Amino acid sequence: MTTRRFFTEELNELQVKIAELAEDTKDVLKKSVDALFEKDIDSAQSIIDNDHFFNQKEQMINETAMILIAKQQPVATDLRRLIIAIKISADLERMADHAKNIAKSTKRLGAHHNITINPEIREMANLAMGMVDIAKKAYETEDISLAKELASNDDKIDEKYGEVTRELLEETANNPQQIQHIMQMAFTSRYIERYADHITNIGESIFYLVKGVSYDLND
Amino acid sequence: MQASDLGKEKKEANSVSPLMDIKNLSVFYGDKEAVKNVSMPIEGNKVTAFIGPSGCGKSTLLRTINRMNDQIDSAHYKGEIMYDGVNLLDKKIDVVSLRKEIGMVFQEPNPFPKPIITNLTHALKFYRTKKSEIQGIVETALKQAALWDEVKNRLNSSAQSLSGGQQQRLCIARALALKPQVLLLDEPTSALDPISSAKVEDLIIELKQHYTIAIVTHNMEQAARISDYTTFMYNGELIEYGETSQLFTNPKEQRTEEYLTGKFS
Repeated sequence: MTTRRFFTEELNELQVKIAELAEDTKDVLKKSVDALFEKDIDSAQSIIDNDHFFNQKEQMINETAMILIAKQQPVATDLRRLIIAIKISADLERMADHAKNIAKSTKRLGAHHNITINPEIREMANLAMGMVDIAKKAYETEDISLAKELASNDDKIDEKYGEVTRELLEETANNPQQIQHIMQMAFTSRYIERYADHITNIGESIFYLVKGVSYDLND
Repeated sequence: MQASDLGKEKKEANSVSPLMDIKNLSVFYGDKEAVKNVSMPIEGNKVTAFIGPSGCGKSTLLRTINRMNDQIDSAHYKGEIMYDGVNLLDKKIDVVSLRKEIGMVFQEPNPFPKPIITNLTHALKFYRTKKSEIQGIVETALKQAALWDEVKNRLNSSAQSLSGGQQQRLCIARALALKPQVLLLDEPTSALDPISSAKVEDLIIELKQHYTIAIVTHNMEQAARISDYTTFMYNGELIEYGETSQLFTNPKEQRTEEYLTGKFS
């Protein structure tokens, strides 16, 4: 096998690992939101316990990228591909952290609370999971039009986050005795909003990979 | 045209206009066009690297700058290499003066089989440098070439007793002794071990404070490490010229990208 072919295969493997991590990050968000709505404390605890998996995956991707940088001394697109692998894996790990934080909120709310979970939180999560699919496709196909699409989806999530926040503020006035629970709901919507921001970062990384210049998708 | 006509007014570092301007340069060996209509600047007090596969014309271009190709009967040129308002390809140019102003160091260290000091004084005597100045020039050149400390106590030893890396630095010192403005380096480290190569690389970075350097190298990592500007040539054509930091991270041309990333077929 030629050195270049070997390097290309290792780059492809790295790309596959990142796509798998993205899929896992999407799954954990779904599980954490399901646990929230279903008051499933066991599932929430399992999400918290398994968070180390994401940290390990991120470290593995970083180490592979660093070894390839050291051994292959890449330039141009190859170098950018490895730099963004490190950045994207960091974003994915942070996204998994936000899912874990939702699981922690679920635990704090407990199995016996009687407040209604805002349906917008589910909508926000669905939108965010859709963004992961778009980001994955954009990464695999290096399609910057898809990367740009992430920004408009992120705006939709921001709007919903605003709605949820307003509703929860009203709720605090109507049910001041429930303020601890309402706070957990506010945190949860914030975690999803931040989760989506990291997907937008991934879109920016893809833009950098393709164009070689930094781009702020929020501008 | 005499040596005094060349590089009389040394250009300031970071001057707006380039030190040298290659315009529509084509170099032929008989019918074969080895360099095809190349135009590019050589910026003063900077290192410009030439990269590209074997036979792409990069060494031919470098050798054309100080007219080394004149020694090849079939070689002829079109275009201009403008330097201080003078076209270096002008038939009236005194090439001996030109090569004093624009020094060259080759792939294989080629010291004269003479004492170390003679390697530096030989050309100085040829150019009738005052005896009283020679000692100072020799010391300065050897210091600039980062060789003084290693040879100061054995200046009368044979240059061939030096290691390969020391011999190459001696060749650089030999060129520096003539106080050139431009140094052309044709794969100066390809015959050296990594430690000697690193010393020559350090030296090149040091020397650009005082000299303008053009280097041909097959070692792309070396070009990335030491040069300010890089030119990628292929099949006699200049494919891309740009700042090294840009060319190695975000080349504009597909062929540059393919060459840098080893995807060239």
